[in-house]
Amino acid sequence: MDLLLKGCHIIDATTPEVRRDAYVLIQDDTIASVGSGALPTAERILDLEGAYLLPGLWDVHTHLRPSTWLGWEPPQAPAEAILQHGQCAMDALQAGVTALRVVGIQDWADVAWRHAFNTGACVGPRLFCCGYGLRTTAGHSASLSGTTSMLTHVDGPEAMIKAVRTQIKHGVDQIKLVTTGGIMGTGHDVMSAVMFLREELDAAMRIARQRGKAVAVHATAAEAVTWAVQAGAHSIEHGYLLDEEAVALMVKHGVYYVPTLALSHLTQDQAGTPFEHTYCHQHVLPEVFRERANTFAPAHEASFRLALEAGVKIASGSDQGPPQEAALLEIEFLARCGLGSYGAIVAATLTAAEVCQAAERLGSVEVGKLADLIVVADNPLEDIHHLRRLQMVLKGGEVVVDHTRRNACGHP
Amino acid sequence: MPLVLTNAHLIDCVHPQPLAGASITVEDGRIVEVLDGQRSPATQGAQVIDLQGAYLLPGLWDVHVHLEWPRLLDAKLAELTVQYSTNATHGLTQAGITGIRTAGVPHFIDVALKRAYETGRLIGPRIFAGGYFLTTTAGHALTSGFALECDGPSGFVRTIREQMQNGVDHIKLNLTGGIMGPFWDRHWHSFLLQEELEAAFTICRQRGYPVMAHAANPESVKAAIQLGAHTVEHGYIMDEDCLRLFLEHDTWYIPTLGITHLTPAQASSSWECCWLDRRGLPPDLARRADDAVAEHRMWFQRALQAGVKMALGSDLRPLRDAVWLEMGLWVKDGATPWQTLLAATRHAAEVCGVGHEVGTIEVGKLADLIVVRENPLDDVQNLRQLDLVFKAGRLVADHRSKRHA
Repeated sequence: MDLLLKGCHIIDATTPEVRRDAYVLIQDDTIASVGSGALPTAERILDLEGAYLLPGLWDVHTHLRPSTWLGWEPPQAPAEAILQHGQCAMDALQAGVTALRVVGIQDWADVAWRHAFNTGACVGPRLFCCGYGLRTTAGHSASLSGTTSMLTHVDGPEAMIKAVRTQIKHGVDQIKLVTTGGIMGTGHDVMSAVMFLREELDAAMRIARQRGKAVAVHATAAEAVTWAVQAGAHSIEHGYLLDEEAVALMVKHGVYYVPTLALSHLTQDQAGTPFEHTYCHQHVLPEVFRERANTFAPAHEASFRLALEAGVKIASGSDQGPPQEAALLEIEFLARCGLGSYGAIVAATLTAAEVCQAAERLGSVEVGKLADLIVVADNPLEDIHHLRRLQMVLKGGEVVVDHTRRNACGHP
Repeated sequence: MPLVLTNAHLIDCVHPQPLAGASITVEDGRIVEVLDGQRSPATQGAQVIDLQGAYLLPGLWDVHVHLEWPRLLDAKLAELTVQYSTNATHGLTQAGITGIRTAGVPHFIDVALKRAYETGRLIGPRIFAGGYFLTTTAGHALTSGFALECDGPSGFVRTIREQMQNGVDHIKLNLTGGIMGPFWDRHWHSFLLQEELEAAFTICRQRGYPVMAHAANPESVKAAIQLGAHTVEHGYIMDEDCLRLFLEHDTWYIPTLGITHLTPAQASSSWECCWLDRRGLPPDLARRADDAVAEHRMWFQRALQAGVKMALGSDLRPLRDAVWLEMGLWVKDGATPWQTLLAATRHAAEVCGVGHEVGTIEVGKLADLIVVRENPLDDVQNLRQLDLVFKAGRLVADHRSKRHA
């Protein structure tokens, strides 16, 4: 079954030039041709009537949570939490987020949902999974919940070896290490310290390397980032306090940077758009986190710009919830803080796919790639907020959202 | 916006004759008007769906459900949760099962699903949750992952209280062995001591929780009814005293015919054969079912004749196929399509304590509805020709384009 999308302007994420009045031909789940002028024949044809077509959006730093960081979680049965994670993922697809990297979740819920989405048992985005994030005792306390946690604590190189192997056994795609404190923490959870021993870091990396798993490292201060890059990190998460040396090393090793700007920028005090105001009104940070976010935001932004100027590869990851809101907010922060609209779109599509080691088949509108696409009413290069004017979402060539009712979509 | 379904053959599960040319109007999830062919509904400002003569009836129910399928080896909580969630949703959207009562689910996944579906963000059937299945050490269904072994009166009391604390709606209590089990797990054996039985029923009565009693021999059926069971499940072997007690105590019987009737030796339709191919029933268990079926069938038929209250519970997996298969067996054993349909709608809703809210198509009830192409009272397997499913007035599945393409 082939599907021709005609009459659209394409932002393909490989060039900032918009391909005007173009078409995309999809055969089964794959983009078979992209062009303009004479149209190929197809069994189904949709006229997009001058709308903009882009690759589906990504968020490569999510925990599939329904809200921001509260520092505590209401008591919830494990099964309820697992269902809520799946719901967050499915809702994200409805907002045009066709892929997510889950960098820490309890009970390997990401792996279970990935299976359900891949087999078509239910309709959700593509998931790239890390299972539990690994931290040390007295490490970063991302969630203080008594019953469930997205992080597991590991001490000593041998325990680290076992922990990484355990993640692999449960079917993860990548490994997540949390080597420092973070903004959403208190007390011992300071930003400056490296919390892993060097031998713990090396032990984790050895196993990951041996088994072909990329490692995402939560690292805030420059020293922790330097250690992580030297040890073989695939991506650096957060990097609030980078310096010239750390950034140069990231460039040299081709390491990806996922700045998670939303973690420091998304507070009532800094909110700059109606979307940010609405989010901060609906998802209220506790006072202590809000103060820490406000305090670290300038240094975070400076670190981001340092990395940007040095040419570090930057990908979009929000670390906020729910992903259907947070993914778009993070893209807007990236655009505003220096990437511009096109750069932010690439960070949330092609570079994000590279972070997930999936760019061979995903992340851009190119022949041979899987047809994960969104259609928006107006040009997001002129105003990044136009990504919110979503008309359609396709995943693997299937129309999964159609707000224009051009085509009956298969799901109620 | 009101929803108006016009040009239906209405089977309301109150009157046995379908009403041609009927229409119903739904507002805020409830049925506000039911009209026969003589009168036309107000359609201004409403969403109107012309059913073109298709059959409109209440959503189906299964009051004896386990959600696993296929059985996963060494399954993790998240895998189970996702699988159960998917199976429950497919039961609703692909088979029109709008309500279920669970009979053994580990980790209180049924409670979690119930809560998730109540928010309306995930889509699934109404769930009446039983949590774990309570038996004794060396009891029934021990390898299922959903059985808890309790011993002694206080063992039962504590475990039952834990079930309540975790949010179940009823207590699934196991009194005897079953057909599907190891050689020492026999349905003619009772498993509980008298004082364990009394303790279990006493705490349930005290806290107002209905007991769903797995009882497969006459002694246990009688004990369950006399101690106040809300429903008796299976009843593979009974006697006349059992029937008398059912009637005296107004207790429900859930016969779960599929357990003894669905074997390679007995399969009589392509659906049953196809299901058996996927089921992979071991030969020794098939033999146990074949050995038990004649007596089970006789007591089902006797209960039907005697007027024992019965509802449809399948004990079959997956949920999507369960109700269709079990209804077929009811008819095969001599129930009329009308009796069978009532068992799977109105009576099932009554078993779950919501007969005043769902289970029939009447003004004031919640609009849990299905639409099927052909008359299920001619052949209950016509329920497989499912066009539309509504839960509380919300369209949750539309198969018309796929079926008529």
